[in-house]
Amino acid sequence: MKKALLLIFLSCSSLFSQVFNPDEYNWDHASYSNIQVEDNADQYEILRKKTFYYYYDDEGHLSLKYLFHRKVLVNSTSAIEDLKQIYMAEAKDSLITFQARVISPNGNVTNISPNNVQTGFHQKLGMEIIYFSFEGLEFGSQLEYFFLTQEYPFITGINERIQEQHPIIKYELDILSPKNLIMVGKTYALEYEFNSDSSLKNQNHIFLHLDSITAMHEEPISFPLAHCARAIFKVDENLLSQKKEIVSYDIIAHDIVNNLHRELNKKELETLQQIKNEIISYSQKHSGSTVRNIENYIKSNYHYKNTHNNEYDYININSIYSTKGYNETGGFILFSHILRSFDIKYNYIYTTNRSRLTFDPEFATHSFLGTMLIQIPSESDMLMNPINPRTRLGYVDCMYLHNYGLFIEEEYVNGEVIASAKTRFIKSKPAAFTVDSLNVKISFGDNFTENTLEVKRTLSGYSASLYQPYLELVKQPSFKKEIEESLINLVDEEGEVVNISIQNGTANLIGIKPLKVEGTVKSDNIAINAGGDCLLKIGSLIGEQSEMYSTEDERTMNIESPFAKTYVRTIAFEIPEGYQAGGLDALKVDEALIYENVISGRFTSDYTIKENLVTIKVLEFYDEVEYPKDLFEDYRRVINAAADFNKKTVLLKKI
Amino acid sequence: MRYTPKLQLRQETYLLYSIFKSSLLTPFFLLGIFCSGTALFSQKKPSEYLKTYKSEVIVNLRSYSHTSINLEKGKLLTQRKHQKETLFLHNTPHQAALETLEYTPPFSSIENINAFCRIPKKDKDVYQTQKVSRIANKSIMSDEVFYEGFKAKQFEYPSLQKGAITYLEYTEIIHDPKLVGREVFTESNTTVDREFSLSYHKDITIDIQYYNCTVDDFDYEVHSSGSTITHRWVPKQIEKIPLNTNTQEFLNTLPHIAYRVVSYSFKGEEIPVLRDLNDLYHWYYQQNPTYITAERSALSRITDSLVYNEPSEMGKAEIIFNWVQSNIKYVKHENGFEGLSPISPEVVLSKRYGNSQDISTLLTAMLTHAKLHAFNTWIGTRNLPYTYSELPSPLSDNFMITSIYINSKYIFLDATTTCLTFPLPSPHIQGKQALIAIDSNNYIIQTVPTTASELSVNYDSAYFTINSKSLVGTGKRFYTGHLADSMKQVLNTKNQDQLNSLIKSHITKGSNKCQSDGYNLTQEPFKTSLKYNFEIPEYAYQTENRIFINMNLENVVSNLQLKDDKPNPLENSYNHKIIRDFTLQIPEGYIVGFVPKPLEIKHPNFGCIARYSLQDGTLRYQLEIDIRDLHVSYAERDNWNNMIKSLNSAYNTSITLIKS
Repeated sequence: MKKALLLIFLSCSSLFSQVFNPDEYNWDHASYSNIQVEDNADQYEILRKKTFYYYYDDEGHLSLKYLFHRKVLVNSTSAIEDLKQIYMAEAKDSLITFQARVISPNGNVTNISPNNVQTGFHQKLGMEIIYFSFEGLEFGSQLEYFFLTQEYPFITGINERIQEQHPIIKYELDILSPKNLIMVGKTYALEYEFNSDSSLKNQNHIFLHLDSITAMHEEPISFPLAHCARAIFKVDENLLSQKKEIVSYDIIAHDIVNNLHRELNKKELETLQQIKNEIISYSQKHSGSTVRNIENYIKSNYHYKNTHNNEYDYININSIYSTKGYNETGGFILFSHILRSFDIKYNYIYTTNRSRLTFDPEFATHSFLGTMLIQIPSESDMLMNPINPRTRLGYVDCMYLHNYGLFIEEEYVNGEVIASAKTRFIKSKPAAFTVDSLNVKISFGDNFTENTLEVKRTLSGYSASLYQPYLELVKQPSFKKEIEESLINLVDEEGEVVNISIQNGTANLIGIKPLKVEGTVKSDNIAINAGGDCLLKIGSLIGEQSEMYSTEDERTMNIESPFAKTYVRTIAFEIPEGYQAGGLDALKVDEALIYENVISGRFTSDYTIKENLVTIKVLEFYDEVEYPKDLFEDYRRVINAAADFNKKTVLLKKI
Repeated sequence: MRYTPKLQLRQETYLLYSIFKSSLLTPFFLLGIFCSGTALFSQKKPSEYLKTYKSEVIVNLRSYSHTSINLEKGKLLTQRKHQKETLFLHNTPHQAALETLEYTPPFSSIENINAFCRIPKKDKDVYQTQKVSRIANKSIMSDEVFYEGFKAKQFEYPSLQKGAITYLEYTEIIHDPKLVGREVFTESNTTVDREFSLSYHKDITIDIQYYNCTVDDFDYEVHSSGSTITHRWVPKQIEKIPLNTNTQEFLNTLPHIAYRVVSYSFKGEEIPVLRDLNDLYHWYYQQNPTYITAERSALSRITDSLVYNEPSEMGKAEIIFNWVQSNIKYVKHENGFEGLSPISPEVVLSKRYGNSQDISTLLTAMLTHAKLHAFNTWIGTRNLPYTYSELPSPLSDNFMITSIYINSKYIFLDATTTCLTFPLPSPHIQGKQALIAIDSNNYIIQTVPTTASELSVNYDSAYFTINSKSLVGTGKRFYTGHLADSMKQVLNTKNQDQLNSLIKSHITKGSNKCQSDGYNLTQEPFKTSLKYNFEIPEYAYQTENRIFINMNLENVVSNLQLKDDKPNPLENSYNHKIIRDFTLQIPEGYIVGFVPKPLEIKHPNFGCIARYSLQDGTLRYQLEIDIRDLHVSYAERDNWNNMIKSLNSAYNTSITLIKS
């Protein structure tokens, strides 16, 4: 990861020479000398980004005021579009102060009326938010705003993303807390760590003041968001209670287990038994292990509801049963109790989506507890995600694998449940788990038009996961046809799918049986007429391939992909009578990627010819989901070998 | 595609018609319109539903809407009652649990929501009812629309599960009768019982128009009861559309009815509402106050500073148009009456953003200040199938532009469209009727011209040689007219990497291995040009004594076959031409062995030519595709598909060079 170019701003602002009250923050506090921006600056430049967390003792209760201040140079008309609406906070947080202004290119200042602040239900985000709009924005103007909100005082881990799509000229992050609360922070993809200022009498102050942060850098086959500059902070110690390591994974494990395993009342126990009976009845009609039947039954009859975790209707067993819905907490409560009622041992795993944030095993915070999974020891330690209806045991979202996680195990000691926590690496699935196998037999029509392609395709693992959960849900004929045909028309996107049949297109078979598709495609596009001869576009039958032909600047990020995978392709055709095949030797390709002394990625193709039957076999695989950046050129060669094969043609020459 | 048998049912017509209708129908009508939801429940058991609709996911058991326009104390009261009963047959119908009923104050409001669901009772083949307990009032916002002013009533159906039926009934109050009404007869799900009815006081005259359907497509009845006339439409067939389709975007093809209040009589006097375009215009004009620009206002200062040195009317218009287009940001903006009545141009100038009405009002004011003949103009964009003469109602338009009268003709200016070159009409209003506001009493209807295909050309010429198996050459590509405007918009980035990548995508030809190590971009008002060099590695297929080259380096429009199951015609943004002109230097020692036959297809609305010619040791390939209509209709589909098929066949043909 290319580190942002930084110059640390070491001096501490005079703002903090006395006890700071965020309620008094105003433009004067924010004043600073004008920053000159070059003409060729980006679409917009973030001149200033200041984030301020003010924890304070409010009559014995810890409270938090959050201040955010931003100043942006509008350097293109498209930036006006991006900046027309500014989202400030969720409506549940109370807005204390809001000020905004526009400084025109000639220096005129227009203050934005507080009447511009509105609250609305954002359809896409699914929540009520407070927002405002700027007026008077024009090319070359500067917009500036700050707001102060009263928020819930999270202290167990706040993840501040520093780097953005646009460069930041001046960045400030300040955390003030009561003297007894010691805050600590850690930075990622930055050369600098938090500083602390011990001069304040009644407050602790840690901060990060930086100059010149470059825009986020993107490279193909990588997860830039996961590796952008960020800071995470948390409370570490309470001097009053003399508690250290307040954010400890052991305590978290204990709390989680106690919360999810709280004792059920009589009515809840009856309901649980009822659900259990229904699962038993379901299991009698369906094959598979008890765990799979539990998951299939619950996911087929209950739905995940993305609501606040404390919403009673979706966390109480009785309500879950009657509403047929559960939220994240409710889902884990339900699955935990059901698994326990069947005497099935399980563990919890907390981790992050590695495409957005990599789990740091060295720094315990709630920021890394993004998603919880269930591990079943009796099923070869396979993982399960109760809240995702599109996954099944042994197959969870690939972004939660190849990452560290917090493993929470529970034991019963003298009837008491004891939880223990350890951070461990969660391995990804091997390339053999995700296989995309394609078999195409070509029968030529007259003059190489209306050719018939008999296609058989088998998909397993994550390749199948793009289809299996959806095929049974889609009923609308035209949409269903479109999805089904997309499974085989990769051989010729303009071809006509004459018939198609699909097996195992159901969510309950994810990870158990591969998706099988067979069909016939009529194609006019695989042969190029060349005055009696024919150029057969044999490579096009494997479908369009990713390519990395462009030579890049020096690779700075590791090569990261969602999952390891294998492609197996077989193409066969009979040389028509009166023709001879030429150029077959060009189909022999072999490019390999060596990692840790073994072939870890490869594209290989070859052909055989028996009597008149030509059979071409292609194998492509990538064993790892992450390769060091040093192997980028080798990786690129393999990827491009597949893209080159896609352009291969065979000459059928009239004798 | 559209049929408009005008069915203007005035009172006399109705009375004649009603004589032939049995009075026994009255209770049936009343039942269909005014019944309470619970009383009308289909009384099947859960198991019967599951059996009847086993291959379905969601079934609309009932979808009724009823518009009533009543006369009370000389005023019209308009409301639409909706009644919907939906059966869910998949295991987890939770996504449908959230219901959002949007409305736009002060034009409409929602009242009398009655919502509940019936859930199959455990182990018993009966339903139990669960009421919706909380209905929240929400302000709706999105990233796309600015300060919308949309409100919504939002609630969730509890305990939805397989076999559950939701029931929803509510009343939408339309606060101005001019704003009714339209009924679209398509559904995303199988619909068992669909009905629309319209009732109104006998002293009210209503006009009804059919679009993409005729009265014969419905079981249609009209009846009177007391002083109320009621029409009822039950579609014989219901076209299914994809889930979550925004029907407003497809009104050109979807079957629907549009109706409007023409007038009503009160105490013996006829009170006009929307009798004709005159009524619509005068109502519109009242909503749009004339803004007088003070001499020392910001508007006058800016306008004067822009045009002080420009003598010609066209020059002044162009300068002002370009300034408004560049400096006032267009935002979809629906905030109460701002949607029907623009704010003052001075305010728009200060805010620097506005909806189409705000921007056109500002542009008109600035042009007028510059002593040009400029007029506010209402218009419906191309996704609306109406004309003002057929439907003089607010349904006919959704946009505003400015018209100027210069050199004895009207020019239509849409400053909301980024990068639109003056004085081209924007693509989304071409061919549409424009209602030009001359003054408080006078207006003109003019049709916005469609631009000729010759105006918007995508041209690429290249000269190349064969080097080993690679094609190496130089090329020139240009875009004119609307295509040049689109390119300007695409290339509007300050990020050089992004710009290089965008340009590469336009230069790439032959295969994605195509490389270019240099280009020269020129942007003029009507033309965007690119000069470039290129190399396509491994493109030619070479044997011992032959070289095969497919001269079709780009398969333009190859994927535009219109499918049988897609009745929507192909909509072109604007008429345009695509021209390719590629010349191959024949390598020394080779002669041309095979050249494909020429192709020529002529149709009044589209056509293509592809031909090869030998000239001085070169082989030239010219392809021209001419699209001369804004859409390919359903009737023209076969001809269009034949052209695409012929083109694809041409694209799959290679020339052969033979060693001499």
